[in-house]
Amino acid sequence: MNDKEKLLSVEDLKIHFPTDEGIVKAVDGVSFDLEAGKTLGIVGESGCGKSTVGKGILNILEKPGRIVGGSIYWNSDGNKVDLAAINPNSPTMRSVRGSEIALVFQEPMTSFSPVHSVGNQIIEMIMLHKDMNKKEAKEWAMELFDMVGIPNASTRVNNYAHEFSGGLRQRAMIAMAISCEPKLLIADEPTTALDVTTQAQILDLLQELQQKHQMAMILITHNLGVVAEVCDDVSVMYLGRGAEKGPVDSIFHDSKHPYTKGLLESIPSINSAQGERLKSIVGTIPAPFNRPNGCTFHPRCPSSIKGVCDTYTPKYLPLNNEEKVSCFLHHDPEKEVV
Amino acid sequence: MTQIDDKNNILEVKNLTKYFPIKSGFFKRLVGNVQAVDDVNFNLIEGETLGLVGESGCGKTTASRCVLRAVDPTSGEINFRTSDGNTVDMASLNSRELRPIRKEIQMIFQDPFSSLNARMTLLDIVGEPLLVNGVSNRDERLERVSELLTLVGLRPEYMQRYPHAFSGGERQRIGIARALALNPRVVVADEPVSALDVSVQAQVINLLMDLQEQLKLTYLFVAHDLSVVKQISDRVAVMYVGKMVEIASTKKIFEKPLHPYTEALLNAVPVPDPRKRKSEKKHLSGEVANPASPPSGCYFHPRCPYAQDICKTTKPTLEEVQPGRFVSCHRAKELDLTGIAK
Ligand SMILES: Nc1ncnc2c1ncn2[C@@H]1O[C@H](COP(=O)(O)OP(=O)(O)OP(=O)(O)O)[C@@H](O)[C@H]1O
Ligand SMILES: Nc1ncnc2c1ncn2[C@@H]1O[C@H](COP(=O)(O)OP(=O)(O)OP(=O)(O)O)[C@@H](O)[C@H]1O
Ligand code: SF4
Ligand SMILES: [Mg+2]
Ligand SMILES: [Mg+2]
Repeated sequence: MNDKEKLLSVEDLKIHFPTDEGIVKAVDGVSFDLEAGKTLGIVGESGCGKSTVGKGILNILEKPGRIVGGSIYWNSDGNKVDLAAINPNSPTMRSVRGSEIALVFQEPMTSFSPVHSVGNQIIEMIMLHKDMNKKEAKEWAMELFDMVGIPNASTRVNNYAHEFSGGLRQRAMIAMAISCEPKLLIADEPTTALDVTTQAQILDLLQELQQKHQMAMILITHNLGVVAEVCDDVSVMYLGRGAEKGPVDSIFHDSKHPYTKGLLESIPSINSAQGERLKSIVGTIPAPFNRPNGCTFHPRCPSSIKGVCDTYTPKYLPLNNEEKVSCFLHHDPEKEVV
Repeated sequence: MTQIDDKNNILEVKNLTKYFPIKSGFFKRLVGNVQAVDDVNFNLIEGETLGLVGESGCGKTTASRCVLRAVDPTSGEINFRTSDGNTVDMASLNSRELRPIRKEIQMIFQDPFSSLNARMTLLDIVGEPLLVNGVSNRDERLERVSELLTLVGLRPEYMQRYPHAFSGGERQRIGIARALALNPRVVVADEPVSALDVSVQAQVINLLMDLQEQLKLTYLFVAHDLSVVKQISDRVAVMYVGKMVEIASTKKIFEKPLHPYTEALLNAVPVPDPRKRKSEKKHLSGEVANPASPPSGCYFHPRCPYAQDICKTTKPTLEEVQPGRFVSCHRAKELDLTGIAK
């Protein structure tokens, strides 16, 4: 992938939360890039920094969160801007947020106000970012409802969020997110709260919209099944850092990082046999203020190299054009350690 | 006379029904019923794991709580073979009569964060059921708690700590230790690993499987994640809007489901292998019916791709179509449904 084709390119991003107890290094060195129309999955267990990356791209971090390093290059019609370097309240950032990159959140209930109808909230959003009057905006909203598969659009636009089922609420969220025809949709656990059948419907919908509108997508999830079904590329995170990234097929069939291997072995698969013991990763995820030295995964890693992994921090380095990994099994410690 | 039909069964549930009244207005008039569990039959074979699956709101929690009498059923029988060989209908017992039986059926909860009392130490949490059941000697309790903690893979030295000092997976182990305190024979686990991260989930599933072998436990395992259910269950029971729609051995139900709803569920599970992406997608449309006003006939008919006229008018009943295979569908014998390819 040469530079011109990249829609988004995140390099060594660091986002920290300074708190009274200390600095939470929620994101501490993550890199990936994304081509137009493609889907990148960001996976990892709870607290590894997935949502923080998503919010960081749009610089809508909760206080006291701050981007403290790295860059987020966004290719806006041939103009490359570093979203990490510009003022979060600048007109450029606002226009990127409103009409180029949209976000679908993990908790659809909190994304809509309970005192306005869902339709009005979407209409307002459309009028804010598109040159449309109220009537046109309402028509567009109804068209969007149809597009995302909400039945009876004309009555549904007047409903409040609590009158929607979980699945319909998520559809409405998606309608709002795509109302300004973004180039990139960041979907943070869009199906986690849903049943499998509804999850399948929402994933179908996202893929269909994506194909129709040539939209790129970042899918944040801890569900490896979902990643395998829809993503082109995958970035695996552990404790705020990129562990490994690569095409979906190499992640699932030729993973390089011991954490990725462990994750894949831990999941019961619908294809695996009944009654089998699962392989599991030993130990648990360390607390934010208790990060191990060296490779943060070394206390749980079955391949950890004594005197290396527990002492030096592996860099996140490319293996080839497509893959990157942060592990001494794949980099020569001699060359890296100074 | 209460009786268990099959001597291999430890529990037989017959025509179990639980309605929750819907009241409305100033006078709280009864305006309807949520038919959370609607004439359900199933049994637990001693030593097995029965997985109970279905979408949110289909009545899994209500049905499993009825089995423990944590919820009082509206009607039906819950016949349980006690350790002394007698059979009792738990649905008909009062709370005093239930007391000795409760020891034999215990529960593990979904949420390891809210199900443990934050102000109690591990010793108190795991020791409480012992105390309540007459183990008043502190040393005796200490010894038993230490034994239980070791059993679930926690260090007995942590006995004086409070739950907040433990991770999600460790808290779930605490909940399991507590459930095992009184040597139960049946354990009802309601989504016991749903709140856990994948790496920890695997540890807890393995622990549950080991404990079952060691202690000869019978599990009723409630979950919405079919991959987890497949891993741990000998048989699987599928519910839809308060009804039991299919029961069969895990192998059979996954290889070749007989109910269209089971087929749809299996089809919707994402497979963690990009080489097995489905080229043709047959996903269910529509939404789960409202249990306060279920559709006519078969409750699944508005979403069922195979529905015919009879499905709209007549309720199917759960029938044994092959030995050990129960299904509630008018067309079960003629349909050729697809499961999960090996
Ligand atoms: N506002 C905040 N203040 C302090 N720490 C925070 C804040 N928001 C997030 N964090 C911390 O940053 C880390 C990453 O959180 P984040 O929500 O990005 O994780 P995640 O990967 O999305 O997890 P999940 O799968 O549970 O959604 C966590 O340790 C979290 O506690
Ligand atoms: N105490 C109650 N009062 C009224 N209705 C209830 C009560 N408990 C459950 N219900 C209703 O009964 C139905 C079945 O609920 P239940 O919790 O048993 O489902 P479930 O299959 O466990 O769902 P989930 O997967 O979301 O846990 C639902 O419609 C629910 O709203
Ligand atoms: S760097 Fe070492 S400790 Fe870290 S994952 Fe690789 S082998 Fe394990
Ligand atoms: Mg998150
Ligand atoms: Mg439940």
